[in-house]
Amino acid sequence: MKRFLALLLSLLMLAGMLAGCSNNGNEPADDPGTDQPSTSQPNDEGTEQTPSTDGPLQGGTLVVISSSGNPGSFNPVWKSDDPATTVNHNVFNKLVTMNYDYEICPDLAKEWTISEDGLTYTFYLHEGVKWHDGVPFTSEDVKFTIEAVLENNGRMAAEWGAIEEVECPDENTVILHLSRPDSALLGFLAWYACQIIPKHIYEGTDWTTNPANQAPIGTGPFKFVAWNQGVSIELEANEDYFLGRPYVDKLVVQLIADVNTAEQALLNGEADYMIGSPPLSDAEALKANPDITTGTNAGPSRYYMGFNFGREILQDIKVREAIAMAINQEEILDRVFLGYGAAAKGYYTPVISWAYNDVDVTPEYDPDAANALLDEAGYPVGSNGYRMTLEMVNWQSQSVSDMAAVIKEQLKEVGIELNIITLEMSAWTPRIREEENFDLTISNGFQGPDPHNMYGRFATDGANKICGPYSNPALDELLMEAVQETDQTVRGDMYKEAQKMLHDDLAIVPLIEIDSFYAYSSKLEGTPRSREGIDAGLSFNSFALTYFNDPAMIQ
Amino acid sequence: MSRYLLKRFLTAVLTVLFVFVLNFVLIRLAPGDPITILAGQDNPSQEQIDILKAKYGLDKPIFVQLLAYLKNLLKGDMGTSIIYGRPVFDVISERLGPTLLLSLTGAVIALVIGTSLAIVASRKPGGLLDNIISYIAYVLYSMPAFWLGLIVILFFASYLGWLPTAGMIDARAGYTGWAHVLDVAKHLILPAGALALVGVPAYFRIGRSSMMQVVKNDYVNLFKAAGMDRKKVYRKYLFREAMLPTITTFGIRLAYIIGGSAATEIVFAWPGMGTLVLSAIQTRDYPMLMGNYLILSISVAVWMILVDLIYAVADPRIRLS
Repeated sequence: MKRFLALLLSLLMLAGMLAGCSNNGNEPADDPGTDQPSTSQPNDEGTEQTPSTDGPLQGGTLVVISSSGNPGSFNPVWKSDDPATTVNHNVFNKLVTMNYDYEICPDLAKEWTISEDGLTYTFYLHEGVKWHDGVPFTSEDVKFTIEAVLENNGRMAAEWGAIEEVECPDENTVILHLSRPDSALLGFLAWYACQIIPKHIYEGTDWTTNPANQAPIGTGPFKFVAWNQGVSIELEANEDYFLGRPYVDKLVVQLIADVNTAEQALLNGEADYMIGSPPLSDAEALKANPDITTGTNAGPSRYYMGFNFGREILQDIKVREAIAMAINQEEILDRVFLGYGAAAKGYYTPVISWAYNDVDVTPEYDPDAANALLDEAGYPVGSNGYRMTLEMVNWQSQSVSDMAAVIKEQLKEVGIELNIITLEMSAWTPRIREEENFDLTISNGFQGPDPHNMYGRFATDGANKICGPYSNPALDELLMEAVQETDQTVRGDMYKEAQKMLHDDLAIVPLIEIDSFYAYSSKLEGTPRSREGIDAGLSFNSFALTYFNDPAMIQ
Repeated sequence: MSRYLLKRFLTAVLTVLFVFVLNFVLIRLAPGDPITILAGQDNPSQEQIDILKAKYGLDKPIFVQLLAYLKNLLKGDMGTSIIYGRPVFDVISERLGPTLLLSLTGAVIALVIGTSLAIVASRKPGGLLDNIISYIAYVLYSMPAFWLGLIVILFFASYLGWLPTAGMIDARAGYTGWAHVLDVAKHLILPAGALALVGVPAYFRIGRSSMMQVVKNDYVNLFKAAGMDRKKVYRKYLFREAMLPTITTFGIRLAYIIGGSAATEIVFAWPGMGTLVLSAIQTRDYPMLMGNYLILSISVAVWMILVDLIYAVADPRIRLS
C-alpha cells in the first residue's frame, strides 16, 4: 500500500509536469459582454428562425460553459453584468439583435423604418408573442423597458439618451421619437443590456431587488428553471417560442471560472460549448482534435496604448511619434497572441470597414528613426543608458501584462525605460480616468456597435478615454456631427476624417486587432458562431437553433 | 473553568470587532468603489452617482456607515449585496455548505493520511521509507494548490476518465434524491483529494517530529523494560502524547477552513465561499465582503477557543485557568 501510494504520487507529478507545459496558456482575449461588436447596417430581410420538422435532431441537454464569473442578477438592463449575458440572450429578446458578423438583425421587431430626418424610428413587432408566464407581450413592454432604463439609469441610459418619447399606436407597433438624429442608436438597441423586460412583472417595483432578477421571465427561446448558485443555471425549451421551439430540450449554463478546467470539461465530454476562448497555447491541439470544432470570429475589439497628454514630456509630438515607431506590433502578435489576431495599424477597427481609414495609419516600426527623433527632440541618452523613464499603468490581465513586457523591451531599444504598474480593474479605472496619474496605459474593448464609439474613447468629455486631458475641439465637433448624419457614406467619410485627426495628433498607438478563438463539441450544429447561426441572425450566445448531430446525445 | 471561558469569549468578541472595523475601513480606503462598477463603462452624471451612493449609504462618513452597519447587525441584518441585490446572509449561507463539505473532507483525509505516514516514517527515522515519504511530503508542500488541482484533473478526469472534471453536480444529467447525493460525492473526490494532498505534509512533519520526540521519554524504556507489549506502549501512551501538536495544528487549520480552500474551489469550479469572496473583492461589493469577513473572523475566533478545550481534554496536564 505504501509503495503503491508512493508510485501513484510520483506518476501524478510526472503526468502533471508533462501536462502542465501545455496548459500555462494566455488568458482568453474575449469576454462575452464588453467585446461584442457590430455594424449598424440594418438588415430588414426579417430572417425567420423556423426549425423544420424532419431536419435536425430534436432533444438532449446542451451544456455550455461560462468562465466570466458569477452572474449578479438576471435583470438584463440594470447594469453591466457579463456573466449573466448567456442566460439573458436565451431567456429574453431584444427589439433588434446582433449576430457574430455584427450585423443588426430582426428580433422582437420583424421590421423597422427610420424617417428621413432620422428623428422617428418605427418598429413592427411579431404578433402572438407571449411571456414565459403566459401573459401576452405588447408594445407597452417595449415602452416600459426603455422608460425604465432612462429613469433608473440602466446600463444603456446614456446610449439611449436621444430617445425623447416612446409611442405605442397599437399592440404591435412602437415608435421612438428622438430629440436629435442618432445614427448609433440602432446598434445600442441590438447589442448589450438592451433586452425587453416584462412590464407586468417590473412595474411599480424596485428593479434591483425584484424577485424576477433571480428567476427571470422573458420571451426568449428558453425558460428559466433553476439557478444553482455558483454551479449552473438550468433552462428548458420554450414550447411556445414565437420563432419556433429550440431543438434541444434543456440548456444548462455551467459556471467554471478557470479556463483550463473549462477546456478539460469540454474535452471530457461533460460540456459541449465554451462561451469564452480556451487558452491560445492549446489552440493547435484543439484544432487537431476531431471531437472539437474550432474557429475564429474577427471582432471589432482591439488593444491600443494611450499617452497621457497631461505629462509634459508626452506633450511633445516627437516623443509620441518616436514611441510609436519603436513599437513592433507584429512581434507582440507573435509572442503574446501566438499569431491569433492581426497587428493593428489604423486608428479604428477595420472590421467596421465602411468607417475605416486605411491611409492614415500608425508610423512604421523603425527604431533607428525613433532614436534619431528623440535625439532631435532633445532627450540624449543619460549615464544610465536611458533617455527617460516612463510609467505604464495597466489593469490585471495576462495578455496586457505580456504585451507590456514586450513593449518594455522594444522601448529599451530606443533608450526609454518603462516601469510597469499593474492594478486591479477597479483601481485602474479611477487612476486613469479621474487622477490621470500615468504616462502610458493599455486598453482594449469593443469598438462598436457603431463608430460613434470613438466619441467615448477620444472626445474631450469621453468616458472611456485613456489619453489624460487630450482634447481636440475639431474632433469633438466632427464626431457629434457624424452621429447625427443619416447617410452612411457621408458618415463613413466623417469617421475617416476623424481618424486622420487622431493620426495627426498621435493620440494612441494601435497594438492588436483581437480575433476571438472558439472551441465546441463537433457534435453540435447551428451554434451562434457557426455560419448557419450567423446567417440565421442568432444573437451572441443564443442557442435557439443549436442541435446535436449525434443521436447518442439525445435520451 | 467558566471564568476562563468567559474571559476567552470576551477577548474573542473584541478581536472579531477589531478585525471587523479594520476591514470595514480598509476596503473603503482602497481605490475603486462599487458605484463605478455598477455604472459600468458609460459615464453616468454626478447626479446619478449621488443617487446611487445615497441608495447604498455610501455618501455618509465611514464612521456613520460603520455605526449603521453594526446597528443592523445587532438586529441580525447583514445588509443587501450591491451586485446581487439579495440579502448577504442568504448568498453566504448557500455557499457555506459546499465550502464546509469540501474543506472538512479534505482536512480529515489530510489528517488521517499525514498522521499515518508520520507513524510509519518515525519507526525508522532516516530509513529508506522515511526518506521517500519525507521527499514526497516536501514536494507536495511546495506545490501551489491550484496547480496541483489542475494536475489531478488532467490525470484522473482527462487521462484516466475515472472522475468528473469539475463542478459539484453532473450538469447534463440533473440527478435528484440519492443519485444526487452520490453525484455530489463523486464530484467531491478530486477537489477534496487535491486539498488533502496539500494538507498532508503539515500533519506528516508535525506528527513525525512529535513521535520522534516522545519516543525518547523515559517511561518508554521503563514500560519496555517492564515487559509491556511494544504495540500497547505505542497505542496507549506514545500515540496519545504524540498527537497533541497534531490536534493543535488540526484546530488551527480548521480555523481557516472557510477561506483556505479558495484556490481549490476556483480550479474545480466548486461553488463555495472562495469564488464568492474573490468576485466580491473585484466588484467592491462592500456588504458582501463585510459579511464574508465577519463569518471568517467569527469562525477563526470560535475555533481557537474550541481547540484549547479539546487540548485540555486530550492532555490532562493542561488546566484552563
